[in-house]
Amino acid sequence: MVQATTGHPSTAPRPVAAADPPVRPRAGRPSLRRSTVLRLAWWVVMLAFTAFFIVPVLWVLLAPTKSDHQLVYQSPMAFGSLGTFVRTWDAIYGFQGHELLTWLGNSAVYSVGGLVLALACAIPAGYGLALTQFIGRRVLLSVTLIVMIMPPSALVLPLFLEMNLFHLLGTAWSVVLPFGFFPFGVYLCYIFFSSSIPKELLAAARVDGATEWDVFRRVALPLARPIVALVGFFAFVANWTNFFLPYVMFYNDRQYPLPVGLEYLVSSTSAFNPVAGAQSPVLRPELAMATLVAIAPVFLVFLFAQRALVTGMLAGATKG
Amino acid sequence: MGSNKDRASIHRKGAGVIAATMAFTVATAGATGASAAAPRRGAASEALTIWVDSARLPMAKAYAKTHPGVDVKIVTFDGGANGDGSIESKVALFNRIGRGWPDIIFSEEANDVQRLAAPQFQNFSAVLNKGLVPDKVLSGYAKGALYPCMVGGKLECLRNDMAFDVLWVNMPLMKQWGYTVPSTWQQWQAIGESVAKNHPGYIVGTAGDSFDDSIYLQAAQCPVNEVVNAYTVLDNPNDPHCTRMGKLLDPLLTDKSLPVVYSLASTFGKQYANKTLMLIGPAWYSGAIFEGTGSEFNSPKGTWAAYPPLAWGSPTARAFTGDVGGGLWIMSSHAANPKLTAQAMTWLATSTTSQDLSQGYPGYVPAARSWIAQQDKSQFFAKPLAPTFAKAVGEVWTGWSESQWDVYGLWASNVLPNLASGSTFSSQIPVLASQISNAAAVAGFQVVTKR
Repeated sequence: MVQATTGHPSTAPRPVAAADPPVRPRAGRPSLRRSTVLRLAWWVVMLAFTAFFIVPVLWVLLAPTKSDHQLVYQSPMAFGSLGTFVRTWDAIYGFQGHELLTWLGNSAVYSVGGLVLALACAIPAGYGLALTQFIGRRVLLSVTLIVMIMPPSALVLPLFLEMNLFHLLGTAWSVVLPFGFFPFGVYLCYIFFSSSIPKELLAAARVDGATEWDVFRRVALPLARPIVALVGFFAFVANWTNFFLPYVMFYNDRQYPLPVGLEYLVSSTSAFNPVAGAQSPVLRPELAMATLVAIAPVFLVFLFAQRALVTGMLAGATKG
Repeated sequence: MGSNKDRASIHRKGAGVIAATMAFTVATAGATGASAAAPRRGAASEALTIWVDSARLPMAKAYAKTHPGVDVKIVTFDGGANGDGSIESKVALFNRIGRGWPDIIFSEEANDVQRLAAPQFQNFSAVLNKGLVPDKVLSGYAKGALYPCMVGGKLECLRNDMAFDVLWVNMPLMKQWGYTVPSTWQQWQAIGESVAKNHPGYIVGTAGDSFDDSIYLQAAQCPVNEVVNAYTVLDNPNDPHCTRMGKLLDPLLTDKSLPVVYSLASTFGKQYANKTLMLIGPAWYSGAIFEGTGSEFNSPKGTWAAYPPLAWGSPTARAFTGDVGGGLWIMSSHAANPKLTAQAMTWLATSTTSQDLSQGYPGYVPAARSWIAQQDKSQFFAKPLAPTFAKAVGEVWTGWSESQWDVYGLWASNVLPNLASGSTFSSQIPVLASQISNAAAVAGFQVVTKR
């Protein structure tokens, strides 16, 4: 093919490119059209999926801005008013002597308490399994994996009997102690320490006279910050959303965490339980508001821990 | 919203199944554990623990306020709402460890005492008619009000409120179309057929609720769920009392004047708030469907009126009606101070101070008079509710027993899907009977078809 040079007098003529394929008139158009269609289809599918997942979230966000009547009769995506939002908040805030705040506080205490215990157990356990050799290590690792895949609700009844034995039923310890048992965290730490911490580094510290505790605390732990954040986040979310364990352990509404409180709220609204009576102060918008209150702390924790979480998730993905 | 509600319903059913399974597992495991009579540790003699749902909280608070000498600990819980089995689960757990039982429990489920009578719950409910509650008090209850509390001749709870069915009528529409309010099922059916023909899209009732078995079959005196003695249930779907109701309803299902829709769904209000001529349903429809911002219709004042239950054949025939729920007060047999506990429960269930705060029509007659007078003060309904409710409360057919198995659940799971896909009502009565028969057999009951 000869490249036309006309109009470009200052440039040297381009040598003939014998290897260039011959240009066939209109040959590129069907392929261009096909790629445009594919790209369009891709966008349509992506937008459809986005809408599918975003719409329910938007609905929950908009619900507290409307009255119960507006929620049923107005367009699902319509915005109500800020005044209604405030009234909805007042209704749910005032429910049974600000019980929502009590549940929120309980959730924070149980979740953070459980999280601290889980970190205190999981990180040294993962470190020990990954970087030390001892009798029964393989068995312990296998047991960790097995317990990890067991549904947490399967352990609730034995835990109930155990807590009764130690007279801890109805106390915060009855949920905080079981929350501290987090085999998934142990496994994550094991993966991290066995793949991302060079053994030579630890050996060098030992040569420098560091004790095993110093090696763990001064060398391994500072390097493990991303995995600490990741395990902490997963433990927090698991504790925050746990329903069944506190449901069984507590029998006083002032001790409920938010998930159990939400279940109680659902049973207290005439929308889901006609026996509750139409005079109930909790209707559908108030339930939506309570849901937002319940998810807000997890959302905030995620927002602030985002960078550490991503780093933690990638930790161990590549070696070197 | 409808889909959200359905999803919530499924979620709740799932939770109910988990709770029921847990209750069974713990109760079975603990059958040989702590003694049923194990004393509650650390309980002061003038202390009481009362478990109530949010709607009954004001009543419990009123008790605490008027009895300052008693150390009352009030705990709110879901009240066993929608049969989720939470009471049974907790009782089973407490039985297992031999402590923790509350002294008084309010249950929203009318069959909870029957469920708690199962052997694995180790006689949790105290027997009240052997001296704990005076006969004078018990005789003040409406006729048949205490039948859900009777377990093998022993009274094991006090009824809080009644949930008898009445005929709800849209008065302006009735007047506009020139119909007369029916007093028999046949007249109601004739209006339904006329509405389907002359006003398509309008309805005279619904057939999509889990409690329709009670609304239609109990009112027809259909003997498919009658516990005739401790371990025998009468279950005969071929009884003429059953088939006659099927024949009456089938044409209305066909012509859509009796649609298979859930009357407590928000979509029901949206679709039928202005297209409902009549509804047959419980007394608590007043708040759940008609009156107030939380109700499905949120109707204007003066639209709806309650009429007595329909008679069969002749207006002068004795009418019977169904009973959809009604809460119970249950006293624990483990209560440290039985006398004080029984007095407290009697106060909660019968005193005017307490029952004026009730969400439903009280079962105790003197309290009911006071309660209904309060309700009628608002003049929301086109005519006072008092005369209709006072008549209907004595017309509940007691041949439809509260039982260990959940008949509403059986109806909702096995019959409603068939009705929704076009089956006749007649064809579904044997389906329900078969399910009841299976559930009764599992509970150790003998099923008979003749008395």
